[in-house]
Amino acid sequence: MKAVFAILLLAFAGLYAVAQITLGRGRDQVVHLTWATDPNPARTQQCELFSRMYPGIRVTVDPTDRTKLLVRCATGTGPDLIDTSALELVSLAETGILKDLTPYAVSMGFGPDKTYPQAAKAMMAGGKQYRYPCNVWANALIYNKAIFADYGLAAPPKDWTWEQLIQIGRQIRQSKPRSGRAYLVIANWAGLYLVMDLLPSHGARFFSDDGLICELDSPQAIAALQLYHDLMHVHQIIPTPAESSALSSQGGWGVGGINWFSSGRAAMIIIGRWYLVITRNWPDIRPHLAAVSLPRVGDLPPRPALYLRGAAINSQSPHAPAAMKFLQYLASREYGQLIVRDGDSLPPNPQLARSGRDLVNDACGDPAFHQAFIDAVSNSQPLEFSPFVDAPQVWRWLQETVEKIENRLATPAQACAQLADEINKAIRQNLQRRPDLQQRYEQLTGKPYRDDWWQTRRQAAAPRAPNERP
Amino acid sequence: MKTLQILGTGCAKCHLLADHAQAAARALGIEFELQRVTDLQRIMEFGVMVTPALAVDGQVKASGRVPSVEEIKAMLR
Repeated sequence: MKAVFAILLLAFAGLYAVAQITLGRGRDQVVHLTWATDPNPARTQQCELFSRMYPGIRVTVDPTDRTKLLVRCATGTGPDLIDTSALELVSLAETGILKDLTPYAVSMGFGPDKTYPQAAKAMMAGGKQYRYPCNVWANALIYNKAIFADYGLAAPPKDWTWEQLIQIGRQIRQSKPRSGRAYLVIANWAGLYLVMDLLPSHGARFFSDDGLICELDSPQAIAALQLYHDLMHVHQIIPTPAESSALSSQGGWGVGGINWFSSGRAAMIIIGRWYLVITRNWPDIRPHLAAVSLPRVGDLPPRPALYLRGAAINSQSPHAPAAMKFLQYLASREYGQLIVRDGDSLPPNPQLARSGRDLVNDACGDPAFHQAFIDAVSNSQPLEFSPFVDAPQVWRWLQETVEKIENRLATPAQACAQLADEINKAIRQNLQRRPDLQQRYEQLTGKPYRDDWWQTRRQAAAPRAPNERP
Repeated sequence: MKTLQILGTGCAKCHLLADHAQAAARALGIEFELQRVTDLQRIMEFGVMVTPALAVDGQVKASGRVPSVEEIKAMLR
């Protein structure tokens, strides 16, 4: 028995010594960064390229859930790099979880001058830069050339209106293609994302300039939701929720509109350039892809919503200098080329996306296809949020509003009124109970805060014509 | 006179490293000036990727950990 204990003791001592030597070596020679991001297979390649460019630094993907991430950041064991969405940027910045990059970004080559002007706005919170994009996207319309040819339809023009799109949709619905097959007109993969494009395209604003009043009950917002309603229920060119669920159970097309389009059963889809990543699993669709900008509303150019996945640095990270190198890498030509090749939206540095020709890759060799997505980002508008109300909550209410319209539980005017009312009520309640927001109110308005401040505000807001942009 | 530089953005470990460095220098009776370098760009100019780090007269002696007072004494001798 003694011998067994002695052997075990020696074995543990040996393992301890090996661990100490290995840990010590790691500490001195290689810096290990952790990156809280999605476990997309593309990340492996992105991490490997980074390690080749910066041999002393390794990056490991940490696909932790957001609640755990917050707890870990609060206890000082959070990841070094944190991918952030527009919805969480302000709260993560305000709680001190994210490092303010403003003093370093420009001189280190990942400042606002190194990305698209619209994306530069989306990197900021309270006038400070907290992140740099991993990729940038705005929606365009992808159509299947083979289906258009089957109906004898001409390609959509580069500059077109929603009326023209509805006309094409009617032709697809009402006429018979040469092949005799049946097709969906537009595969609606996420109604909220389409509404997010329709709102700014109609000139609708989410909030007043100071963020104190939600303006989603404006004539512009109602017109945007009315168009969404009409596309679904009047013109029937996007499927209703009932049709979507019925179709997804038929023929094994899959559960989402993306699969319907990818399997060649829908003529069009409104989506970002990242769709090309999906086509790895649907190679047959690739030769049939073409893209155009979204239709415009009246004389206004299309204004899709801008999205970006941005990497920020944990303010508690002991590896902040190495993490800065990672942001430099995101702005580099090498990383941008990886994004171009994979088709994962647009590279963060616009130098690599000056024209559609720069983005040609194995998935699609047509520069015009890629140009539609460059134009979409050029015309885009970042999502608007107010510092006085929780952005994820606003997003949930928007989702509920879209569902009400999809299921005809409210008219667009009623749904918009309820939405704006709910958000405005939340703004008033937040202001009432949070002295920090009251202070912000006073800074913004130059007036002392009063609980009944809102009574005069709504009357002062001048209504705009339905197609007028602020 | 030696210049002791504590490279770090102001975390708890940076403060501990500063305390250890001062204690070591005082124990050896060395005249010293303690500088706290919190600017990340300057930290990176030292070639440091992990904080906190200790530099003596511009030379990085340790990074990514807090050496003990005894260890720092050996670095200062």
